[in-house]
Amino acid sequence: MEEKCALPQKKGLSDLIKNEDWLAVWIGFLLIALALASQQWKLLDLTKVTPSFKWATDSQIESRTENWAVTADALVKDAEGREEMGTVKRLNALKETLAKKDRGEILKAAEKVSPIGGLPGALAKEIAGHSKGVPGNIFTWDNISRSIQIGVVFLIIATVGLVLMGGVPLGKFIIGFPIIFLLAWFSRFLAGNAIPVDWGFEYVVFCLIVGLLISNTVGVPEWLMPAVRTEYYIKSGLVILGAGILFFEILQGGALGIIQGVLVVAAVWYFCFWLATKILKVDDDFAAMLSSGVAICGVSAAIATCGAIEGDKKKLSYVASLVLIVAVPMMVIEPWVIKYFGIPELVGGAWIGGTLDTSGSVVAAGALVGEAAMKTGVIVKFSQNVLIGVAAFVLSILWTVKKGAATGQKATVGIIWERFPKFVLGFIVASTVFSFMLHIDTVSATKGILGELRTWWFALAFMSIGLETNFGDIARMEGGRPALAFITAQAFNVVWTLILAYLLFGGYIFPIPDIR
Amino acid sequence: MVKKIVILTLAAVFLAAGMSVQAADFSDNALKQIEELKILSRDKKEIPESFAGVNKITAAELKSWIDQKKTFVLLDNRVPADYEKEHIAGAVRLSPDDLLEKGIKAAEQAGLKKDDTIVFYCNGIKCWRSSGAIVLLQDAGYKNLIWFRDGIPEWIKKGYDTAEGK
Repeated sequence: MEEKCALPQKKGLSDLIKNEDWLAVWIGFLLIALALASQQWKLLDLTKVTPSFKWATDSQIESRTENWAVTADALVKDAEGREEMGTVKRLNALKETLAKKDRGEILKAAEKVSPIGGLPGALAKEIAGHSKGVPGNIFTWDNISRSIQIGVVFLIIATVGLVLMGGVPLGKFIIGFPIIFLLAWFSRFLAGNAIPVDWGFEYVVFCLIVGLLISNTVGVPEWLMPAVRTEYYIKSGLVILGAGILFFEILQGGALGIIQGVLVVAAVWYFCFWLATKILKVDDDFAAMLSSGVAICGVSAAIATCGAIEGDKKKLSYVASLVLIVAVPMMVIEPWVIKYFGIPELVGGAWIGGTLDTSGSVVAAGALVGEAAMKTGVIVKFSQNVLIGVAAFVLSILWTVKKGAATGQKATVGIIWERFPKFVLGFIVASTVFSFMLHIDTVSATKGILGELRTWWFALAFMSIGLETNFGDIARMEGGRPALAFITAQAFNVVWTLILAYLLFGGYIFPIPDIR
Repeated sequence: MVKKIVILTLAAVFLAAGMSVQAADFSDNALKQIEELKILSRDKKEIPESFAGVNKITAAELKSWIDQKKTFVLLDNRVPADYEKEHIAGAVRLSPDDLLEKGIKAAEQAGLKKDDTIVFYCNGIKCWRSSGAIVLLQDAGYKNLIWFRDGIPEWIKKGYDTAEGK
């Protein structure tokens, strides 16, 4: 976006359909409206519209059977102690199939264990999830056509938006977009393999890497460039993300989840920002993204922050990669530390939920500790997620005022509005509508498809970042100081969250919550 | 002009999506209770321990009722997909969703009579469906309602018989 030097005139209403920010809001709203309409008037079976990307080769399944059998063993002894003979029977049947390493049988046996719920159910869900992912299933026409459908809808809507915006070579876009989409599909396919899934290496990193590989080896042809539109894609995705940030989820954790969430996020965010800017001399924008990534935990937080402050996409990709890489050792070490030092289960769960980055890794790490830990972790994680919206809003305002101050303009309401990233409004409207105005059934029925649409926009955005970035630029970014800030702040996050988890969930200030 | 159309369409869609289908066969109070139960389930909280006028039953007690061939209707309150995957052997399916959609005649179609002894179950203490079905049938005048609150997870844990299919 250009910096405006002269006092801004009040733009005409045509801004609403010409400005990229506003267009992203309309695109997001339109897709949300389509999803709601499909659900309400039963236009589509929304359970059959999302493609699947999860797969594991037979040998990957075989190599996991031993660990699964060991876990199942422990659960059998547990169930025997509680005289749950039905659980014992089904877990033993599962163990038999694991020994035979027959994928189809393993899947069936796991599905028999699922309804039991609790830890056996969690194990069964993991096993079933991997076993179901036969590579061939990804390439069935049914699965591929689902991606194509979404791609076509995106192509039409994105093109209409660009027509309104003007100044874009549409012919090249219409040819280039399907190619970017295909590359994003391929990256999501790679990310769906059992190995990256287990380690929490999400699709955004793969999209980034594939994009970087192409742009730094064979290079990106000029005719493809009009389809490389990071901001356009990311903002559309962010508006749809709003529909998934539901305020009631913060209430699920009750007061404790909220308190821990707010105290952790506030303290860690400020510590990281201070460390990055004052000590390591990283610029403010970069520091804000790093801080959100560490404190609120997760790639979505970093993306939302980047949008809110209109930050540099290269820095965003750096932060997103850091978030995922640093999460890997944490996922392994934290459960081990909890068990080795005998940290109480609820405290451990709250610790995991407050430090790990994705809901998936929270569930996986929590399950390694115990059922109550897993539940507590999820509660805390969801409480923190809601803070993404709060952070995006607050940061947008702060940065808008900051930029105004830098150019010497007084921060009048008019100017704040002029510079305010409009997609944040779309985000907030979507979140408000879905949190307070829609019926529960509607929200849960559309959750899957909206999450899928948002994922595609982010995938396209990160692919675009990769395609327009020189690899050296990212790797050398500010001499490793941002990485140092992130890792140090993450260490602080880990320690501070553990202290708070003890205070809040360990029974020292409040009674220990009844989570079993 | 285009903008106006877009805004109106979006507003209409958002509004329409907020209204859900209500069956006229049930009292407002019952429908309100259903909404509260759904919210509990959505928030992953436990359904309350008891309901006025409804006795509870444990898995072991239900098993002995079946073994003794007592006269009662065993009602599975879940959606067809869950029922077909696995249900308690001998159970008939009727969900509160069916009742809300088709009205009380769905109960008659399932063969339920007002003075039948009916045992309700679903997916356990965080699932709203068995309590939801109880609320609706109680509202419609059914009297002998027994609640197997622990649901099918407890049944499976104990190792009792289940069946698949329709």
